[in-house]
Amino acid sequence: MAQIAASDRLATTELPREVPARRGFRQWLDRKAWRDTIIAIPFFWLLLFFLLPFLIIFVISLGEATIAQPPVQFAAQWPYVSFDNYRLLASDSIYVSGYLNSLVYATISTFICCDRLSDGARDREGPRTEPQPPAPTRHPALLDLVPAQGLCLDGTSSNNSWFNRASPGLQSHLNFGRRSMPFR
Amino acid sequence: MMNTDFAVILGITYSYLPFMVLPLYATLERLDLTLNEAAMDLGARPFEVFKDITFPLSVPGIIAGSMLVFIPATGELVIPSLMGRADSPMIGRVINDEFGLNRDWPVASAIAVALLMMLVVPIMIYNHYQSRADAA
Repeated sequence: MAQIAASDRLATTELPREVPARRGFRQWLDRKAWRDTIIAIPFFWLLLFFLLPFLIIFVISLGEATIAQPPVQFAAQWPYVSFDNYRLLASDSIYVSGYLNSLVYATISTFICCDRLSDGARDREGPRTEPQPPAPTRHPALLDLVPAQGLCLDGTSSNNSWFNRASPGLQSHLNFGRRSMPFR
Repeated sequence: MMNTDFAVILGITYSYLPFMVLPLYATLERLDLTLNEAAMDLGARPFEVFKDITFPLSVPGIIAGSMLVFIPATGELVIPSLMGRADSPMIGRVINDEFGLNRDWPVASAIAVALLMMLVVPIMIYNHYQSRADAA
């Protein structure tokens, strides 16, 4: 008798009843924790490495140059900051022409990049006279060279990447005798 | 050829081409080629197919690639320094000179902030209207 009652009790306790409703932190942990974490990581990355440096630069831009370390000073009285630097930007032609040069060169380069690729897209469409089985996918061979181009750019200095260290023979081949470049 | 505006454009095009290739290739590869066949069945010539089908469908890739190229190309320093003329510098070089040679951090920072605003504000406006268009 006692045995039966014990097994009965066991069976009823093993049956899943209603899942207890979770509130607050446990609910968040069950439902949204991963999604929120995945969004939060790049958010904090941007906060730390984009917004914070931007704010530092912005504050520096409101100061005044001086001979000190760091070479910035702020006015001693309220409002401590000035927008004179921004007025200078609008008034001096070297800055205006610099902005214009940058915008024009970047625009032209962007258009050339687009144009060369749209030529490639046009090549894919030959006139077809009758329904044909799908052609085997052609993988543009130049695409394979895209990463290599980045590696070549990197390869202009001697020993600064895993690729260059791993491939001294290929590197000297790619470099065409250039041993060093400025700005690297 | 060297130390001309053309050299700068050539150098920027060369080194930023991958940033255009990859998003555009991703878009073009996903295009439905049966649409091209349908257009040709309806009598479109190859250029018309490109103009009416391929190009409009690849606009998202073009925009993504253009942003990836245009934004860093605007602030480019190394290419114009190596290949460009000294008398018409790009803004990246002006910033570099103000920070380094002139040691005028405030002016350099002001140039950088203004450049960032020039690039970010139009993109934010574009995104605003784009999201509105997507919602509609």
